[in-house]
Amino acid sequence: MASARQNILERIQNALKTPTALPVSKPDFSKSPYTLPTEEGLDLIFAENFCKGKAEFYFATSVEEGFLQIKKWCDIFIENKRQDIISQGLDEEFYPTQIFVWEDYLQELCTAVEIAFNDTDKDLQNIDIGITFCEFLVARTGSIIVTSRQKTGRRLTIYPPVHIVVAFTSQIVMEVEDVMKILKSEPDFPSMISVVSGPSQTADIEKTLVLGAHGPKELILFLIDNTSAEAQD
Amino acid sequence: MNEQQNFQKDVEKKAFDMRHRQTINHNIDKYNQAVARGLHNFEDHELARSRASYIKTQVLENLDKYLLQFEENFESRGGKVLWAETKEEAQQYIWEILRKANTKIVVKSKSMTTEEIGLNEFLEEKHIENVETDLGEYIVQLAGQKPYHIVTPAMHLSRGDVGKIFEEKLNMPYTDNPQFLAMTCRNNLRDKYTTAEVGITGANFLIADVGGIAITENEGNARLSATFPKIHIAIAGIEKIIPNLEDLDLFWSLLATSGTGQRMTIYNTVYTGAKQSFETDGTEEMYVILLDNGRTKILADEQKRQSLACIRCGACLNVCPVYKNIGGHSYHTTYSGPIGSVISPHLLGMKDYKHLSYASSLCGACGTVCPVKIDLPQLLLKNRQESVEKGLQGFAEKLTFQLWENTMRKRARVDRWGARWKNWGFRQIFYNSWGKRREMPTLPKESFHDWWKKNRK
Ligand code: SF4
Repeated sequence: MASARQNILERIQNALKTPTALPVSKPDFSKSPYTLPTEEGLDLIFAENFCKGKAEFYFATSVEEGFLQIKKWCDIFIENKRQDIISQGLDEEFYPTQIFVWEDYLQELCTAVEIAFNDTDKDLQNIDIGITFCEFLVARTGSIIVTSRQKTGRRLTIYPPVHIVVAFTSQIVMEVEDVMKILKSEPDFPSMISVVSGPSQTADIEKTLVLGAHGPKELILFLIDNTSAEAQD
Repeated sequence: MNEQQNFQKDVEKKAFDMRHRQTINHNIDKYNQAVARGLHNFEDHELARSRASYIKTQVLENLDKYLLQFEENFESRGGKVLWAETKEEAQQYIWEILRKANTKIVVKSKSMTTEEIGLNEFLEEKHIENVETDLGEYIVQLAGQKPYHIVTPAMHLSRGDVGKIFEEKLNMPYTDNPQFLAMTCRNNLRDKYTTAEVGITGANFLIADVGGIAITENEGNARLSATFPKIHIAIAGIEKIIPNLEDLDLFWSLLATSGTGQRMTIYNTVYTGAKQSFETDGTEEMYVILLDNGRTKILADEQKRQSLACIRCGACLNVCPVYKNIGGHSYHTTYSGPIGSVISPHLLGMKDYKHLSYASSLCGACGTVCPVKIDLPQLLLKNRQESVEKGLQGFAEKLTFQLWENTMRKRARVDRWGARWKNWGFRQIFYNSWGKRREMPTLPKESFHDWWKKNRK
């Protein structure tokens, strides 16, 4: 099969000796084909577009405020799960809420607000919540960009049933194109780049929307302001 | 029975199957509503289409250079590119990899290219547990069927149908609740991702400048399939190339809108190889199989070359009145609908599949929706012409049309016949193609020719 490569390339080269009968003239590449945003400023454009999807959105003006919100969110989750376990007649001790955090700085911040987490990949199959950072946010599409060069690897941003993302307004860019340009210019180009635009979903049965097909059922973004005049510290 | 007879038989059945029609109409209505909303994300959709069409045309005119660039960049990051001329070669490559890794379980994410090479049947023969992970594919696999639609494999099944399939094949109580059915699939597959040795995916795009592949999906099953297994194999047609990583912005936006009416599909993911030294997890090996399987034949046709720009969004299927009536399975091909009719004869050999050139009402709708502006109506016509030139029509069909032509050319000859006889001849000629369930139109007693002469003053 070593010759397959040669054969295919030769057939292509022969085919291309005759140019296409249906040439296309170069269109305008200077202006955006997309609908102009109604909001002003990357942060508001992002927020508006992100909230059109099925993910949850929280905004904080400081890291401290943001992490107190996350702590509260997790506490409510833990209590709900506890009630659920008890109502099923099971022993709550055997079914603790499992939160996984793998990124160093994020571990520090979680520790500061006393969120208990697993920093290994032991018991990963019992994961309830994964908390991660992301690399970028894209304003026009309301997307979160995660990559495999984060300490989350490929796993922590797709495997947990609940995915909490912590992001900063300084990470927002306008287009997916901008993300790609930046990533290409960096030496440690990741082996996986994922543009995530909501919680996992399917509409394969009668086009009825169901959340949580295989990836996270819930996607929660805590956006922390570190760019505007109101941003603290 | 040959393919054409098979086709006619299935078409007869499907076109008058009311339940089938209801399910399809329901799904396509919902799709249409979503697309109408999705188009609001474009200020100038036409401009976006023109750009995509231009980029794809440029790529195809330089396909060899882009493929080599892709190969060089992908391999520089540790991956391996395998070139397959035929589906058998592609199967062999996959089998070699699976065998070396002692593979028992493969997780597979939705890919029409794996359908094209008959991977499911092949793996079954080899006694490999091959798990379809996309919900729609999971359903049709359970039901022992083929995907009905290139984007929505289980489009032809109602929630009740799916409930019955799950009840029967998975031994669970009947439910037609989509939420519950989807969760059953989720729970059944979660362990598979972590135990499978190999993940096999398709690729929506091959990106030349970084040597990567891109996968578009809503469920997250492809991401899981390319995360836990040690080996990731992606199989893609050689035409899937785009030049730059940045081009994905445009193509992802167009694919989402035309495919499902979304602004962006939930997961758009680029893979440029297995785990890198500075990363903490991921696959250990990654392979990309570049498949020809007849594509270079299409490339050699300077008109049909354009059809290789297809990004498999499915829009031309959804808008096609013929597809809606006869359904995806009647085509007996991997790719159905207008684009399937154009490319399948070349991927599968013209002789058996020329009937596909006629599975179109030439209404032109497909050409107006295509996000990469493939001139589908014109290419369908060209297919038709060719099958006529090659003398591939049935003998009877040819003879009848010759008679018809002779007759029609000479008005006098027609007018010699009385209306009753004309009607008889008309019925004879058109009976088969007109169909048994439509009333034949009758010709008026007086011919138009005579009426015109009498009444024009
Ligand atoms: S031919 Fe055009 S409309 Fe049809 S599937 Fe391909 S890209 Fe979509």
